[in-house]
Amino acid sequence: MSSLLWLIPALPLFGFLINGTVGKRLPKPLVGAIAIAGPAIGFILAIFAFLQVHEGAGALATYASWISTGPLKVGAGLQVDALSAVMVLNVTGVGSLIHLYSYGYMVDDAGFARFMAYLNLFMTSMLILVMGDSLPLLFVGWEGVGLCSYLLIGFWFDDLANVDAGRKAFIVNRVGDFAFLMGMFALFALAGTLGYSGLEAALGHADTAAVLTAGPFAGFTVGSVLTFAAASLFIGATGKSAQIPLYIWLPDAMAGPTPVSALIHAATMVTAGVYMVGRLDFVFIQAPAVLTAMVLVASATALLSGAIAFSQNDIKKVLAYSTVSQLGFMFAGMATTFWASGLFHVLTHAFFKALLFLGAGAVIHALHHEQDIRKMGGLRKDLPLVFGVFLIGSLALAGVPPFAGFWSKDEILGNVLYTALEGGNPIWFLSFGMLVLTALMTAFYTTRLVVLTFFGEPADPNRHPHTPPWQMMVPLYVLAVLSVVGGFALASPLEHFTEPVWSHLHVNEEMFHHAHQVALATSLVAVVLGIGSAWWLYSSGRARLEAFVDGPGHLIHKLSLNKFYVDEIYEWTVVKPTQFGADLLFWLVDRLLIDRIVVEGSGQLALALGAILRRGQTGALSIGTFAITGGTLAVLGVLLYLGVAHV
Amino acid sequence: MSELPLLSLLIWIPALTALVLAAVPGFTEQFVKVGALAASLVVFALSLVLLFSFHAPATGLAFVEDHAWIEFFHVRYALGIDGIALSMIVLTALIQPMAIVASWNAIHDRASGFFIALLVLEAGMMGVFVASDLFLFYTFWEVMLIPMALLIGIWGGPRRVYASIKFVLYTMAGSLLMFIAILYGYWAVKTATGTGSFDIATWAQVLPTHVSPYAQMWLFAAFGLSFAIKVPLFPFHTWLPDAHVEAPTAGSVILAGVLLKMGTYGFLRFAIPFFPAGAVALTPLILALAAIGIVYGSLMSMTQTDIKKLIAYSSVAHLGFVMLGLFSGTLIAAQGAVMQMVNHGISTGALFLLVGVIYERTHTRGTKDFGGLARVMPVYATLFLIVTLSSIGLPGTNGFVGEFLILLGTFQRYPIAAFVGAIGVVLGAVYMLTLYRNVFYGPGRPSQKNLKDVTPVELMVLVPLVVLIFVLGLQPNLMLSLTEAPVAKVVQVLVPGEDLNVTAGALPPSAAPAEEHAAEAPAATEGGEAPATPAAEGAATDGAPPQEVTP
Repeated sequence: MSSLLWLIPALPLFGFLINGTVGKRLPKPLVGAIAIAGPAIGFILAIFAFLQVHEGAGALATYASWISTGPLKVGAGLQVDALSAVMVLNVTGVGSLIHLYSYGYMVDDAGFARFMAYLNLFMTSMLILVMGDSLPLLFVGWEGVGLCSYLLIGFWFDDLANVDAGRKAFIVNRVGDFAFLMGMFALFALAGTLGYSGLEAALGHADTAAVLTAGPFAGFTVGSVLTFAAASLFIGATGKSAQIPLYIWLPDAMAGPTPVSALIHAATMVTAGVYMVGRLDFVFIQAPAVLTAMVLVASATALLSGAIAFSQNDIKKVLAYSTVSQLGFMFAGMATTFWASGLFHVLTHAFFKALLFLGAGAVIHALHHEQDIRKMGGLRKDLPLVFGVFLIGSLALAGVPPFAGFWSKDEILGNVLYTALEGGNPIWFLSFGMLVLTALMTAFYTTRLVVLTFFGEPADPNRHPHTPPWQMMVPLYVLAVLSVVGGFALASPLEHFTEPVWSHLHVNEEMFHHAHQVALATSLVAVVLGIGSAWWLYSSGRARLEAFVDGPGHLIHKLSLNKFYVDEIYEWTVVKPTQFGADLLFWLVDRLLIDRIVVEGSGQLALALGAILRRGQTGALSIGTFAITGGTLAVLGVLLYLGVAHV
Repeated sequence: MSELPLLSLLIWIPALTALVLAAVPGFTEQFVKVGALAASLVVFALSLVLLFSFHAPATGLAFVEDHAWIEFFHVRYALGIDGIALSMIVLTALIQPMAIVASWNAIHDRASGFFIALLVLEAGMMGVFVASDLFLFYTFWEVMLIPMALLIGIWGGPRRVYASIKFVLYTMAGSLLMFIAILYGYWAVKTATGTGSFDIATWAQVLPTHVSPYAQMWLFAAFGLSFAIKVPLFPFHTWLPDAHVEAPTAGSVILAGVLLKMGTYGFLRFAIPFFPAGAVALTPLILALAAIGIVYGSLMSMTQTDIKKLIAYSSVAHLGFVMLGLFSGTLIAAQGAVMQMVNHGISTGALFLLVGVIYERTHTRGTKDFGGLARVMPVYATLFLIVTLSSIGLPGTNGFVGEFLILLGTFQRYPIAAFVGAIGVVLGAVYMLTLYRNVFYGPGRPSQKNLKDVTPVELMVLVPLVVLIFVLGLQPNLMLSLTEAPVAKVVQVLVPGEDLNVTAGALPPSAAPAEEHAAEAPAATEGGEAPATPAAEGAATDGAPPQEVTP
């Protein structure tokens, strides 16, 4: 198996190369087949790799040296351990389904081949990200998926709004990448290597109180450097995985075609940051301050984006903010160092959020690219099957037992409460509170979404929704099944399977059990309240809603509708000052100071001198010639003199 | 090794071709063009011969030629190359025919002269890279200046005279200082050894020990200023945007592709080895200017409305990276710097070629004068995208390897400089993607609906560069192994006595789980989950100084 690992990322790359070059001239079914074959065969190979890991043997393969100079050795190597195996299965499995769906969704688009090619390139990058055996390779995938995200968000590039959304995604992610690089450099300073096995060997059980005597951190303790590295890496993760302060690109990313939102901006790419934290568990576990910051950031992100999802009217925007919110749950899970709970939510979220996005895509497709939920309504009767699967996804997202999302979300809530009780740190209690509130909000906005889209009367009685083709429906069914069973079927196997790869802290069993019971009860109450209040507010026309929005809910509604003005704040504190500063520098320093005053000033001085020296003839050109000729002659003279004098 | 004086041929084939084409009257312009192209292709072929037959000797240089020239002050016609020079030679030889082809139909006025100037320029550039005698080097250094000034001044845009004079005066100012320093060095060598010499190896051996650190500082500054202007290092850069904007495409391509590297090459080959004490003393200043230059150049790029000017300022940022790496005192970053010299030649050379393509079709270059070209010229848009990605250092392309090595290495010694420099990674994406957005995306303009996509000839010029972008991005060792030994020699000068193959601050692999630190972790570490016991040779940290452990 090890010798075939390279095929998993390579197969979609072939698809990219074929469809990206000659795809336009191939028949569309062939383009689709080529595109789907890569991830589908990859999925089969991934099952074999998974089984091998299951039997206790990790799959490892180093193919060549990539960058090698001085003390730096970066190989082109792939590794599949329990964590990677789960991620690869998720990426290729959900990826294959979405490729199939994309065929149905995009086949009539003029850029169909280009679209499928980009999707394949994305698969390759994502698989390198989760299979690479070193941080530089992770970074290759990390930036690669960023590029594909950029290209796919701006896929319909005739409209500059789409392009700007893609550009925003890329640039905001670059800010995260900047921090990621710093974290990577700090780890290299400590370990002298960037491969996972070498890093873990050097840092896995480092003496955190030891003081470094050499290198860039001389004088600091190992623990403080690990904290710096972990903090930097987490900031990197807030870019790719859309957390405060860098989440702002993800909602805009909905400008891309809907399968892209499902694949990249829900199921796979945005979980890369969670994967990275799990991959470097041995670093994060030694940086408890960062873990505390992580849970705070994660739960605040969950709460903020949950609150924004309240009032969004674009079906995809609701789901996008929901994704940001759910990613917060994943990071909260990672912060507890019960790593498996974060990964568990990555999986269940991949199932139900991909399902919801694809379901939304089916609705959008049926309604000829209508995305405003206020203009939908009553679709329950027109698209009963879509309604069915969308409802399953919604129940899973809202956290209703026994659907998938319930299990993983509950697991995380319990772990956060346990950590709070264990350490007695008020920040953890606060985070738990915010997460419970988010659970309530999640149930609320999910219910609102379902009610407005599928219940009530059609906003436009004359519409003619067309039923999605089978290529779109089959993935929906599969994901619906996974959203039902994915929770209880995976909960305990996943934990056992990933046991070997992760560092653990000692657990107080009794307190753990207790915390989980309290969390379960609390979250169930939250879910019931959320669903109930949304149903009460939205199920019977607009009267109650308007009374609420005009009355007690005025402020929160306004803030939520305007996304708490975060984009505007960034615009005025970061974007505009940078542009203004750059303009100012250009005119004041470059033009005025350097060019006008220093350079041309000295030129004019020379000119004036020249005029005195050589009356009658002026002009820049002659001065230039004069300076050159004269200078050269003078130098030659000195040279000759020296040469003669010393011979 | 070959019997042919290969290095001499690199210089004299273009030089003699230029002489013949200029001296014999009655050649048609077409004949001159073909002649120039043929000469440049022969030179390119020769450079490949050099590349594939190059075996670095244990000491000294390869392909050595040595003849007496001006005996009464010990000037020799001495040539020889190492891996660094070789990579510059191949780059130059590759760029040259591209510049010629790109000018084929673009130059109408006195075209013969234009192509002859290009040949003279190539001879000068080759001379600079192959000379192992300082006087010879200086001669070629000055020879280069004239054809470049003519290319801008005669065949340039509306403000060509201003740009050309600015270019010449800037360069001359530096060159004169360097010349004085060369005289001083000659005198110092003569005093120390009894015989005068311009041999570069001799200078590198004698000067560091026979010139006082104080004098070294001034000498380094004199050489350094000349090179810093060429690079150009902030704040000596303002000639570059003007030169690029006014220069014809070929001029810009060669300027960006090769001439700027003369500056960084000069630091590597001359300034640092000759005057190490001076280099060490001025390192903080240079690092600061390099890091500022990265951010400053990027910010300037963001404000530009002329595509060529935007790319010119981006060169200031990219060359800032190179300077950062060269002076970082780490092998990783210096290797990245040399790689980035080649990368910048490829990607920025390609960008100027690409701009030339649309300039020829539309006679405009404003960032806001285009739109929607991705629909009209899809192949062109794809090539431009790949080069853009290389320019912003996306993994998989050459640009990533260079930037990554530079920042990773620099961080190991000067974390703040690396931190500031890395801001350029973010800003680079801002201005390049904004440029790409403005030119290629959006609804498109009616007047540009019928633009022709790249022609086969244009493709022939661009594709090799795109291929190189990926080859060097995926197999950078091809180049890194070529330059490692000579680069290590230069870096060692900056950090004498240090083992370059070791990461200075690295921890040894921990053999057993460390004792628990109750204060550090929320709960005790569970001992049973220790990772596989690392073998002692597992990490490249042998010989790292033992860490001090506080109780």
